[in-house]
Amino acid sequence: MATLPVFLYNTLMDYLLFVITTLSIPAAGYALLRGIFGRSDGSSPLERLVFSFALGIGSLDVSMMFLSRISVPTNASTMIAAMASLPVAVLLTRLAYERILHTGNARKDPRATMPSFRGRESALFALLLALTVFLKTFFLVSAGLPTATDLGHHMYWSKVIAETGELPRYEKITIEDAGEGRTKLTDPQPISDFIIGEHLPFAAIAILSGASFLSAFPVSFLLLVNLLSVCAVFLVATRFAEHLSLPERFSPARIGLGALLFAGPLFSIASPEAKFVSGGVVGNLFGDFLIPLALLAFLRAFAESSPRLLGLGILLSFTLAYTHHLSVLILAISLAITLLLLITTRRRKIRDLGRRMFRLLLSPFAILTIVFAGLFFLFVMKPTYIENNAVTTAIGTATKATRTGLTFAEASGSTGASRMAIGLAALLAIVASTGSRKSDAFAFLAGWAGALLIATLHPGWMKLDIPSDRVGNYLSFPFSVLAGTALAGFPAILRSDRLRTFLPGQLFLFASLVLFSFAAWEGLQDNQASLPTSAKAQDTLETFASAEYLAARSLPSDVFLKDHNYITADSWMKIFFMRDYAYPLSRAYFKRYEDEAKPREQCTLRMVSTPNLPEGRACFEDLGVNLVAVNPAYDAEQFERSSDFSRIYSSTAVQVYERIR
Amino acid sequence: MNASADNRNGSGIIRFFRADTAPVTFVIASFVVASGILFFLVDRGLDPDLNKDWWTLSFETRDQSSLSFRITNHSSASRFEYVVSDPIGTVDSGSVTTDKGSESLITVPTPAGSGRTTVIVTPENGMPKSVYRERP
Repeated sequence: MATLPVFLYNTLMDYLLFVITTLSIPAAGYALLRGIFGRSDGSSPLERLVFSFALGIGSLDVSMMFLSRISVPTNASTMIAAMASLPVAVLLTRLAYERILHTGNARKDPRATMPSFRGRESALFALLLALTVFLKTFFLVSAGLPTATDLGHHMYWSKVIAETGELPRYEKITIEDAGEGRTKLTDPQPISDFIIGEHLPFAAIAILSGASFLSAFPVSFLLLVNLLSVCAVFLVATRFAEHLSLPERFSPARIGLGALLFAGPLFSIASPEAKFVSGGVVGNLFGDFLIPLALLAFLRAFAESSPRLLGLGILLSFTLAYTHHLSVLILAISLAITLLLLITTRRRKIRDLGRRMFRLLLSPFAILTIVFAGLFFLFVMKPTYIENNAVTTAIGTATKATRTGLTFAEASGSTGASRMAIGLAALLAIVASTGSRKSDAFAFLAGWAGALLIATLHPGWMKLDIPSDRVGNYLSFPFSVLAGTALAGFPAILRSDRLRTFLPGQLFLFASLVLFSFAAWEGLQDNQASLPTSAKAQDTLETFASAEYLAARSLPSDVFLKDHNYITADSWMKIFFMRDYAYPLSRAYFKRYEDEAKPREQCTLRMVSTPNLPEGRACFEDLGVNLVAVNPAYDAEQFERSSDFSRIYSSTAVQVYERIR
Repeated sequence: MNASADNRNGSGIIRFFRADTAPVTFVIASFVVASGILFFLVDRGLDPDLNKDWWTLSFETRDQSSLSFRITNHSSASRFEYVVSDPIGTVDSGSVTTDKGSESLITVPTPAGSGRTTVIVTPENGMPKSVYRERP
């Protein structure tokens, strides 16, 4: 048993290496950002931080994919060289360019800077962020152990990269019908569920810092992504407010703080927030981070006529395309609806609109970025869902009841009724305001919110065949922006002279307080309902110990089956074997065996539930399964009754049975 | 002392909040603090001995003819009684002391005969566990 000082020292070393490695990602991204924009990008320091992290992730992904393409093993030294080369090359080019043209001391365009953010507002930002971090960390302290199924799956692939130095082939063994009632194990078959960008950052951190995947590092990294997503929502709201053509008394900084309230401390635990962090829903978390950032870049590019910002938006979209298929689809739909709104609200100035867009798209930097993305796609690597032609599975008529759309009540429940209601009120108020309706920001904001509402409530209108609750998870951020606009807008409305002569200000003040209280109560209630009830540390350790025991004694001929229903952290067992994504085989959730829309093999069910019946015995013979892990509280009896099995491992939460031949 | 100048400039903390970089500092500081807390507490959660009470019993090898077994102890008990029996009777018995965080390997002679040979281990003040081999 490690003494406390040794424990603290080991943990401290792991933690410091993790922090240094993680913060090197935005450092690389900042070098790239500086190289692209020089000194005058018109961004606030917080915008630069968030953009830097996103560009750092993109740079890391590109570097590791490129290394794989040229068959160079990915280890610490090659990774550092590859990660540093692109940002350094771009930065050096920029410095040389500035020196040659003597533009290094160019004044910043004052119109392009972030809206003013005074001391009180800065303090409120700190308070809201501190509250957000406190609530998420409080939740993750007990829910942050490596137990979540999805996180276990993702860390397997990241460990493949870290151990082999190569990018994985996304494939797995399956059980299929061999005819005449028999079954067989196939060779590894391609799977489209995973995209490389979900695994590269974790692999990179593990390679560079030596961190174990069975530690706090995956969850800590995802927490950072989630926090930066919240910051992205704040920034998006502030910029949208700046470009919404609102009266001067509507402070963009306060609208940003309103959005931060709704995206931060309120509803901070339920999906897609801290629960997605502990659950390891990696793709969605990156999507929630990159979608608002890409929209921010595109809005600013359009509003400020900046080709570099357009290029930034393209790079962020490109990073997203290699990270999460659903998120890139959501972004594409949002931009399509945005374009439609831009055209619709500018019918009389359509030529101007066209000219602005072409001037941006045909600028040298935008063309350079598009060419880079295209060459990478064609000659380095395509995303898995393109290679496996999986795109068509998401398009078309819904194949299941869960993909036909949520009801409005269900969507409100998922997003938060107060956030949805207040957000919709803000959207309608903006639509009613002629000046705001014709602004660039309205098209982007309404495009984002509108696209998601349609995709959630009526996916058939867009021919989408995707689980509707997954799409509904994306509603929270645009509605945080809208709700924040409404919340910060009320005091501004109170100050309106026209309104004061029409209705008492006290009435609106009372209404504002009621609205705020409703939102706060619902958001905090949602947090309280999402808190976990008990720690699973001991059960998790017992699962890991059983896997470690078997892995140390495994034979090439072994075929191991475990139960997913009652063993804690069972999806992490594969990390001890590193044999195949689907190894050990798994008895899945019982309802999956009854799913008529997606029939599946029954052997994994029979071998655990009824090992002594003829069908169960036939499965053991066909598949060669000789090891079974179960939770003795639920599944020991059927094995104890049989003389076909020895019990070779026993703990409170896991027992392992070996079938004798 | 120029009190009016000091008031105009504000104290250090007010100047800090007025700085453009304050939000960046908060975000990075929040991440550093939160991840520190998570690392410390999750690592404590994953320590097999710290505030834990469990133990495991297993056969040492996959060899069907071997009955040697291992006790891995992460519990408060330290004394374990064991009995090895087959269909005929008791093959071996004894006790072993295994401290928390330690393991004990007990070698048992393999009896002749077939059937289920069971190893039952009972900790002091605890519930027993067993492993067994079906020997054809």
